[in-house]
Amino acid sequence: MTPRTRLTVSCALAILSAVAMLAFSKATFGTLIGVLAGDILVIAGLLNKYTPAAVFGLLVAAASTGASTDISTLAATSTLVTATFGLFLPVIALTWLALTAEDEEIRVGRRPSIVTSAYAVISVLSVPIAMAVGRAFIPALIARTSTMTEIAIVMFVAAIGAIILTSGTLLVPKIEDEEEAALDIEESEA
Amino acid sequence: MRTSPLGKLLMVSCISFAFAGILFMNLSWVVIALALTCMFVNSRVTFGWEIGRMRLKVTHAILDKMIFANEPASIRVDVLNKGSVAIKGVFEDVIKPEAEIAAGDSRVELTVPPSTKASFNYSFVPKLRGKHEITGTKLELKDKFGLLSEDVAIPSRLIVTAHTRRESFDVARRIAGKEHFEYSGATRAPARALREFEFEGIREYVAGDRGRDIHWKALSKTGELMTKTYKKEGALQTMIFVDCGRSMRLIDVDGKPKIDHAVDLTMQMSKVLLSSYHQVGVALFDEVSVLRECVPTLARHHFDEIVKILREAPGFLTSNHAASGNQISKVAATPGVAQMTSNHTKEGGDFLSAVQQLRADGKGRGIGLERAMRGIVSRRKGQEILFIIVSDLGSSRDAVLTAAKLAEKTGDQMLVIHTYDDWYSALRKSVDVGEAERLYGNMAECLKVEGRLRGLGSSYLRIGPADTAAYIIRSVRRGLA
Repeated sequence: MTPRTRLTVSCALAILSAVAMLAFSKATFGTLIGVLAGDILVIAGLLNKYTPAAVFGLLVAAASTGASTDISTLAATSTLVTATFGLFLPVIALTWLALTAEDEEIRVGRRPSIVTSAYAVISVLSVPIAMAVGRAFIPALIARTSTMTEIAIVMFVAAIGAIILTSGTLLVPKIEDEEEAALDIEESEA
Repeated sequence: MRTSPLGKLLMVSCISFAFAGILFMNLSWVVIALALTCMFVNSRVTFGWEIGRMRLKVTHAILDKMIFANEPASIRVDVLNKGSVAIKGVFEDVIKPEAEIAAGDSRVELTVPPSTKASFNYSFVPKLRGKHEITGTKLELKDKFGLLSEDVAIPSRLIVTAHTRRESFDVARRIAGKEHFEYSGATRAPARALREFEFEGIREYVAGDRGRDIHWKALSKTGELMTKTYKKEGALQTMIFVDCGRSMRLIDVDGKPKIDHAVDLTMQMSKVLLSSYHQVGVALFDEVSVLRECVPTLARHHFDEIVKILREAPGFLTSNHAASGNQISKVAATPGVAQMTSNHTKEGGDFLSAVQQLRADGKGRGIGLERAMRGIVSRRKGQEILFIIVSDLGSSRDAVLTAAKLAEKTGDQMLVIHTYDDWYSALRKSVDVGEAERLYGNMAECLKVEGRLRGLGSSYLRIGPADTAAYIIRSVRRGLA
C-alpha cells in the first residue's frame, strides 16, 4: 500500500467513524460540533503526521459522543449494537489512526490481533455472558441488574483481562555475538 | 518497561472515562474506556510479540588508524536486523564521561526493517591517553503506538586505545633536531657521524636493511644475505623504564596523570637518543611485573616500535580507584601497612595486603624491574648500559632502590627521573601551616631517597609537570643530574 493510498484510507476511516458516532448518538448541536472538531483534528494529524493533534481530536470526539449517548444496559441487543457500532469500534478506529499518524507502515501481528480481538469481544459481551451464567445458576438473584452492576461487571472483566495479558515479563531480543555479527555484516555488504 | 507521556495521557483519559461512567451512571463512558484499554492491551501484547522475534546484531568499528588524546576518534556502529520484524528505537552508545562527543551523535533514532543493516557514525574526543571503553549500546525500543518503551542493553564492548597528544610527536621531532645527550664531535652530519661507527657483527638480513650494510662477500660464500651491524664508538646502550604503578596513574590537579607526562618524556628522550645513534630500549613496569619491553637497538623503525610500546602503557585511574591508589603510593614510603589497610576500601585493602605479602618474603623488592635489568645486563656483551627510570618513587620506590644497587654492582649507569608528586598536586589547595609541614616532610623524605640513590652511584633528577625532555637532556649533558 502506497503512502498516498494509506492516507486516503485512513481519512475515509476517520470520517466513517465520525458518521457512526453521530448516527448512534443523540445528534445535538453540541455533539455535532464536538465530533466534527475532533474528527477534523484527527484528519489534520494524519495529514501532517502529528500525533498529539490526532490524539487530542480523538479525546474530544470520544468525550462528545460519550456525553450524548445514553446506554443504561448492555444486556439488551439494541443498546449492545449501539455501544459496539456507535462507540466501541469508532473509538478503536480513531485511536488506531491517531496513534499511528506518524508511522510510515502498519505493523500488525497475527497472534496479538487475535488475542486483542478475543479480549475485546469478551469485555463487551461480559454483561450478557454474566447474566446468562447467573440466570442459569441463580435465576431469582439476577432478575434485574442495575446499571452500576453492569459497569462493575464490565470494568472487572476488562481489568482482570488486562492484568492477565500484560502481567508477563517481556522477552529479551536475541543479540548475537559481535564477532559473528561482524562476519554477517561483511557478508551482507558483499 | 516504561510508559511514555502519550501512554500516560491515554491512561489518565481512560480512568477519567471510567469514573465518568460511574458518576453519570452511563455505560457509554465505560465503553469508551474499554476501547482505550483494548488499545493498551494490543500495544503491550504486540510489543512483547515483536521483541520475542527480534534478532539483533551490533558491531563497532574504529575508523581511525591512530587515535590521539584530545583529538576526535571516529566510530561506526552497524546494526543488523536478522529478525522478521522491524526494529524501531533509539540506539545509544554508552561512552564514559572521560570522553565527549565531537561530531555526529552517539544517540540515534533508527528504524531497521527486517533483514537489513543500518549504520551511524560519530566521533568522540578521548580527553586522556589510555584505554577508553565503550561498554555497549543501549537500545530504547518503542512499541508501534509509542505508548510503551523498553531499554535493552547490547553488550558490544569496544576498547579504544588513545595515544598521547599529537603535539608530543612534533615536540619529540623538534627536540631531536636540537638536543643530543653528548657532544658527538665537530659536526653532527650523518656522513661524518657514520665514520665514528665501528663494526659490531653480522646478522641475517632483515627487510629494510640498507644496501651498503649487506655483506656481499658472505653472499658469495654462503648464498644467504647477511647484514653487517655497527655500533657507535663510545655510545651507551640506553634502557628507559617507565613506572606504570597505580600512583603514577592517578589523575592530578590538572586532570592529567603523571604517567602521561612520563610517556611523553620517554618518547622524546628516545627520539633524541636514536637521532644521536644511541641504542635505546623501553620497558613498562608496574608493582609486580614488566608489562612491555623492547631491547635497546638501532634498527630501522625502532622509534615506531617504541611508540607502539608506549601506546600500551596503562591509562589513568578514575576517582573510583583514587582512594585505594593514594594509599598505595604510601605503601613503600611508610611502615605499618597493616594499619593503613584497615581504613581502605575493600579493593585497596586486598591490593595492599597482596603487596605487603610480597614485601614480607622479599619478593616485592624489585619484582619486574630487577628481572628486566638482569635480562638487559646479560645481553650487553660487555658494553656499558645507561638505565633511565621514570618513576614517582611511590609504590615502586623499593624496586628502584634495588635496581640502583644492581646497577652499582654491574658497573652500569643509572638516572632516576623522579616525577615529584607534590609538584604535580601543588595547586590543589592553598598552603597553610599544616600543608607546609606536610610538604616539608615529603621533601625531607624525598631528599633521603635522593641521598640513598646518589650513594649507590645513580644520578637523580626531580621534575614537575612543566619540565620538558629538553630540560632533562640539558641537565644530564651539563652534569646537573
